[in-house]
Amino acid sequence: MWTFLVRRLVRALLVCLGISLITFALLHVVGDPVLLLLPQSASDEDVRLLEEKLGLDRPLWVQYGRFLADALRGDFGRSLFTQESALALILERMPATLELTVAGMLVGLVIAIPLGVLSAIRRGSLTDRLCTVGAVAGQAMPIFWLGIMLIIVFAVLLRWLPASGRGSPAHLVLPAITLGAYLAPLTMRLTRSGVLDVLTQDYIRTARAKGVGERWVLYKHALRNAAIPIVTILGVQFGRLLGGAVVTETVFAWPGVASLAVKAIRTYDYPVVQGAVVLLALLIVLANLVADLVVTWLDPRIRLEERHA
Amino acid sequence: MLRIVALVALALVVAAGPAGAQPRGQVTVALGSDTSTQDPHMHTERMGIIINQHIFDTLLTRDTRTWQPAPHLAESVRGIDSLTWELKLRRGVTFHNGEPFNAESVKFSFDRVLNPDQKSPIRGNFTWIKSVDVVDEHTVRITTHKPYPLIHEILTFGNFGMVPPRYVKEKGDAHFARNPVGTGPFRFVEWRKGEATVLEANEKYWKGAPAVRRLTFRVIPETATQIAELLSGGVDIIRAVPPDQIPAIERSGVARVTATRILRVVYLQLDGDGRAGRTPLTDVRVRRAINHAINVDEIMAKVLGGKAVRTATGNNPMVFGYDDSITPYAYDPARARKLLAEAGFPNGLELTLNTYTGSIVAVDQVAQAIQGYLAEVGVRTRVRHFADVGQYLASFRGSKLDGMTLASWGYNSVFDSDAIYYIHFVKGQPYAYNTSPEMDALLEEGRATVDPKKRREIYAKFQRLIVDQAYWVPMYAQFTIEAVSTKLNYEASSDEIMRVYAATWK
Repeated sequence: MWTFLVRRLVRALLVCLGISLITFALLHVVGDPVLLLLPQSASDEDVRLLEEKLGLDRPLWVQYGRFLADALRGDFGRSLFTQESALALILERMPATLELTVAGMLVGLVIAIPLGVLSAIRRGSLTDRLCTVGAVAGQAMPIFWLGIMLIIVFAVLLRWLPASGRGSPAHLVLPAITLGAYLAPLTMRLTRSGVLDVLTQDYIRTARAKGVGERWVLYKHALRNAAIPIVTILGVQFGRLLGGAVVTETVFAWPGVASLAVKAIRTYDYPVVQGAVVLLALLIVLANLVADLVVTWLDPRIRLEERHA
Repeated sequence: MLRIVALVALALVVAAGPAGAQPRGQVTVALGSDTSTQDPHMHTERMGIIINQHIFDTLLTRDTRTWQPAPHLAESVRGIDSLTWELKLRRGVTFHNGEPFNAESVKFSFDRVLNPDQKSPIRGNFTWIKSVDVVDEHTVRITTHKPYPLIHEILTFGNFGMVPPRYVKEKGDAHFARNPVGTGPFRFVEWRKGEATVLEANEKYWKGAPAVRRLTFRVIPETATQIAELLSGGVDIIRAVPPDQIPAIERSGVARVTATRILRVVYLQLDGDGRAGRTPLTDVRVRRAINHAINVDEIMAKVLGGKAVRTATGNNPMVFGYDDSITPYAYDPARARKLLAEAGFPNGLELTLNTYTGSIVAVDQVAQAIQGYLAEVGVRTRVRHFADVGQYLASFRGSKLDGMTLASWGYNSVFDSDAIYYIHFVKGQPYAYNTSPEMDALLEEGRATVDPKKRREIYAKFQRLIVDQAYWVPMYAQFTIEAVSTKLNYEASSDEIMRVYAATWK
């Protein structure tokens, strides 16, 4: 167990390192914050001075080395625009993003699990087909479009809910549904195939042969085993969820990390982008780790060391 | 009994009515992005300037009819000699924390921006200043290195709010950046980053309290969401409305559109110097041909729905020094073809057309229209589009924009010809792709001349020169399009500063 954890954490560190290197390279290749920081009329001399002040005149590998040395001590540097600690800026926004992603995930699960189980039990029925069509439609629907449609219907036409922003629980409803609807189709399909897979197993047939009631078979034997692939998938889906949060936060003016990162990318605020990307990557790695731990709890036969050797 | 109480209350309200000074109600303004700081001296962002203007006062402001500088915290700005200006300050003004506004606060604000260690991004706009000296409690003298005719313009600068010396020194810059204190019409209440800035009416404002009690600037990045909020009553004012959304807003009955011309001009810059490499554009006949080939009036009418003002010289008709006696090149494709043939291109030629995503309204459609007109006279264009402003500016400065560039200029909010021409036509300046010793001399003279009449003559001469040499294809000045709740009296401003402090209830 402990060797597993250590190994996973080392791997997480490597992932973050790789991600930070890629982000760093991409940002520095694409653009330059200096011209966005200065008035358009700034002289070349002003530009040179600011580059020097920000250390952007040094070779790239020196800049990256400095970033890395500071980051390892938990210091992502200061925002080029506000001079505030990048980490503080990101942590300030983290609760909003976590609130949205957790709510989105709950909505997604509440839709996906019952429908997935239902269509597995009634395979080939009208319900199953409707669910399949719904899932395909849901996956094809751009999250951006769904958000705007929900706003138009529930805020502009019906005036039941606020169109955007964060504050009261009412503000959370539309963004959570949007994000949940983004997560649900794939999760539902995976739940369906997971349950179907389990239902054809020998022990289910044995249980049925023993005369155990269908309901008992489903809850006691099938669902618990079907939960294993679902939990694994949820861990993986967490990354997708954060991706969906970028769009959802923008559409609903939700003040989270994702929208902070988007603005920082547009303005080449390197420290904020780096910090946000590394922290979000850590979150994803963490989510996967939790998923793995839950799976071993669900199925004691799976031994972590072997699985990940 | 109840009725009597009601009557008394009513009488009291009526009695208070004529004064009309009590601020009431709340207004929410949607902004596309948040400001990065509440400290006016430490950013150059439009959203930040809009918020700053409600908390801070500048030394001069703009007359909203003529857009010329007008007295504000400075009652007068008088030239003592060619290098010295005297500012008389308004008396009896206090900061929101009770600190008095005086000559000391003015000196502090100037010195703060000029201090290299402060790293203020607007410092470059003030380097003409040699020193700022306190004469007495309400008088300040500014000494300049060279004669500086643009002083009035710079003192209206949205970023250059007067800040309270004691408060800033005691609390430090980091605290000030999150808890601003000014002399303006609204007091700062709260800033939820990435979400909203909340302000409350300053009832003791020296110009009289604003009509609105609570003013919130909300961050809503998505235009569609902004419009939905406006139509559902969640916000009262939005800016940067796409032209195609105007009819829907006007039909809604809950909001209306207010649009007005702004400083930003759009033009086609030609690489007349060949700064980015060898090009046929060094031949004046080719540049004139391109001017004759493009039907600017049609672009304005069809692409922009008439929301634009024609300019003949690339300059904005609103600014000091614009010469309105100059007429633009006539749309004349036949003449364009003839000029190209004379220049040695009877079969046409190929040029790059650089475009970028940024401040130009409907940039893709405008670029496509230009491509179409040019194709008709035999100029084939390769479009090079920059999706990123930073990259575009870097290429611009780095001598990489060959051929033609669909460019725009916002004057940094300075209503003066110098603010567009100097940086684009003086040799060695970052954006200069067309230069000559004659233009250098004229623009240096314009910058060093204080007498308005003489300056006007200099810029008239200059504009004739650049039109004759066809260095640019001058096109039009853009509009700002805002939408506002029908509950409010409010109009968009030509300097793109939203004046919600001047809004009143209907």
